[in-house]
Amino acid sequence: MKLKTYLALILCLAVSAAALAGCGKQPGNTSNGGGGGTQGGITKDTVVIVTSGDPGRLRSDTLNSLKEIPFNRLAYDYLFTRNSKGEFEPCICQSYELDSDSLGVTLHLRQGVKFHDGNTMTADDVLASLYYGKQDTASGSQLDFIDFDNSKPLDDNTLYLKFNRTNGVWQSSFLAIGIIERSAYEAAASPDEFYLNPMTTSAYVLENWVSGDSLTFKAFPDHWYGAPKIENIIVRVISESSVALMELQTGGADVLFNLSLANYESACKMENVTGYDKQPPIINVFLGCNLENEALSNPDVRKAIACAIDWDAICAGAFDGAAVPCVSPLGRNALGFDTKWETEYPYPYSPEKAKEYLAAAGYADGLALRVLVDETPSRQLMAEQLSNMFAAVGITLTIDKYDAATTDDIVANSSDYDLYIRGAYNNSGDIVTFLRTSMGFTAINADADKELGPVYADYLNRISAEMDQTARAGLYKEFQEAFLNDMMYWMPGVQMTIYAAYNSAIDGIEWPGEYWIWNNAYFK
Amino acid sequence: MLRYIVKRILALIPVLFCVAFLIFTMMYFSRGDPATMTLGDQATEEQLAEWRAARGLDKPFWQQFGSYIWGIVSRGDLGVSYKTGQHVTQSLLERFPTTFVLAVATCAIAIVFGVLLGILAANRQGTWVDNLLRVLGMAGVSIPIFWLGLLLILWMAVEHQWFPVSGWYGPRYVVLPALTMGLTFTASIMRTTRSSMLDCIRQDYVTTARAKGQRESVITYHHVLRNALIPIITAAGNVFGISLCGAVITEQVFSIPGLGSLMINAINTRDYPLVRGSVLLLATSFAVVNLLVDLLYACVDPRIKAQFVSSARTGAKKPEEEPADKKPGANLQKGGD
Repeated sequence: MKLKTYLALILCLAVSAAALAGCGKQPGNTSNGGGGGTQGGITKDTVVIVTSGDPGRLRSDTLNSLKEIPFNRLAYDYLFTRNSKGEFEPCICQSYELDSDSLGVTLHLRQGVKFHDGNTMTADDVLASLYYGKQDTASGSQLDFIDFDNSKPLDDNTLYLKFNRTNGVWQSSFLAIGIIERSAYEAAASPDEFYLNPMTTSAYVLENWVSGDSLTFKAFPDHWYGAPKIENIIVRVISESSVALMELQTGGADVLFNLSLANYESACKMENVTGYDKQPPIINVFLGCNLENEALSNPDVRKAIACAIDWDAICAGAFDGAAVPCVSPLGRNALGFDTKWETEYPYPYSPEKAKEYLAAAGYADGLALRVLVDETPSRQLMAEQLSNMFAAVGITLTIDKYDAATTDDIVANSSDYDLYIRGAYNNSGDIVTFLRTSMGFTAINADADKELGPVYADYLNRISAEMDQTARAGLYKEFQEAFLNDMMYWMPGVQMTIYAAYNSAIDGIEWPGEYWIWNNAYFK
Repeated sequence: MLRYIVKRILALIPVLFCVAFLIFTMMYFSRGDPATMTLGDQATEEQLAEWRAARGLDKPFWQQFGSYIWGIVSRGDLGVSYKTGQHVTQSLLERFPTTFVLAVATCAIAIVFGVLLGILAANRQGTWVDNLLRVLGMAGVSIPIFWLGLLLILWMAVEHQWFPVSGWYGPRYVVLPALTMGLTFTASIMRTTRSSMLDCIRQDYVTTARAKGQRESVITYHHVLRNALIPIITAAGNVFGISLCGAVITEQVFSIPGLGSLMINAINTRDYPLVRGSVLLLATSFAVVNLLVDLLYACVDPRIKAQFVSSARTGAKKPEEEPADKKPGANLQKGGD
């Protein structure tokens, strides 16, 4: 009996303790987050945004993936922002003057900007933000053009940055580096500790973060843009898209982002839900080539592949119609996109032409290739469609499926592939970065130029160095010409449409470019 | 008995060492670079190399494994998550109670319904009730958990709004996920209970009890069920262990911040310390559950307790002989007779 009593007692205590510990509190306050109109009569002061994954840490560069667009500006402010036309607009930096030799810039910062702890931002904080951002973030590699030893604050609101080389995309390089408070960063035990709740100037303050569950932000009344009208924003992690849709329907969520077309159409049929769609300026999915492969090193083989692909069919099949084919290595909204390629794309779908190119390359009897694809369902469907299309022209395509980490590793560190299907959404820099990484992730290193090839590298270097926007646009046009007519190192794929659905009771959300602004949002 | 428990706990050490070695080796040789997964594809080679060096990933396998084991033994340190920078122990302690509560609730539902339905099926053997329950049992073990979960959400949360759709913010949020897993495991416990009860119902002591005019309910619950408990306890222990380790799908469907979702995300992002820590914790939990199940056997069946005691004493004492006047039906245990 004694043993039974002890065991029963231990079990009861353990269960009680776990029950008390395991059931958490609802995130944010109790003012009923979530819209959908099912909590009528209650004052709404909380917006619930659904995301598919926890960001892990609040470094400014890790908040730039597709799924974080609705909330990536909640934690940080930046020197500049970018509108839907790709034009830079002032943010923390109100104006600037480039040196006559383009080897330096004087930034005039907004006055009276406050950090969440009440301290006023100075030029020294901005300089520290760039310095530590370069050190702590992967996007910091784009700041290697800054000569920090010779950069300095001229006064509290003026910062001089010295460049060690000209850089036509210098503004883009700042897009992923958020402004932090220097003293708070240096007082933290480690950068990791600081980035769990960084001290910034953003419109919302991180109040609570339950890892894997939710982040709760509260309005910062002293924000320079004006006190936000919505008091609380909760970012909830819901990985299952159908469950997220049901939360929207029942009022447990207000904003869903990056929906599939089917879910978007279902959401639009709901009462009190508004739909919104947009196309980003960058190609979302493309087909990469291993140029070390003997066949693929032949331009005619690559052109044959380009002609063998029916991108319209892939958009309809693999992407449910929620994508459009690309006709250029640049996305349609990107700076320098040449509209002539809409009608003059040199590789329209033509199996006969593909066979001609293969014959010219010496592969009239056929060719065997392997394509690497990750677990994304649309890309796997695309691989299967490619297999059928290639079979029609005599190319036998074997599909190798792995998870994302493995496919990235294979492409970056081995030659154990021929083709690979890759996605990209980079809103933290200029398209030049995408054009480098689309060559297989090995481009950002000391031998980048060698790996890119002399012509490709030369174009990217000239584009990067060109300070004048109009001249850069011209260089982009030349690049497109050379790429499509001669190089075709990779196959421009599709541009996906981004679908969002949100509670119709919310108004005033701004979606200028690659992020949402919540300052003027309110409940009607 | 205490010596038996201590022996079993000590036996955990080599088991956990083997688990640690296996998971360490598997993660070491799996493709995928945690540096690239953490820093992104815009990182330079120098940044990636520096990141790896800072975490000892550039060292040989045995050195890495040795450091890992030494960290656990000397400081109880399971490492730091690559993605969040948080100590693995802290991450696990934050998530484990959630999974534990879900597992307990699942077990409660599975055991209560499973045992009752199993008893009903056994008592009504051969009738339409038995046949129906067996069909339901087969359906229960066949239905995918994610499908059942989504169905319950649609019906109970969206259609009738009796419960919330997802999340983990209070007792109401436990119901649907626990029902989802519990109903699936109810079927397996029901089948085990039925089969075990049928074995015991045919025993002579049951016939004797009936012949003596005992009520059927007393026979069922105080004689048959108590003797049928061993396989049921085994099944319940398995259910609890599987609930702890296998709640991944349920946690994904219901957006529960538990150990399963933590582990899946860690595997996808090659967050080695978190994966190793999660697996070790689950292995430990499973081992502890097995130990508790074995101890429960001893509570339920005195013969097993005697075996434990004698095995712990290394054979110094012989087991007591049965009394000569012990009548047939000695298995008849106390229970309101």
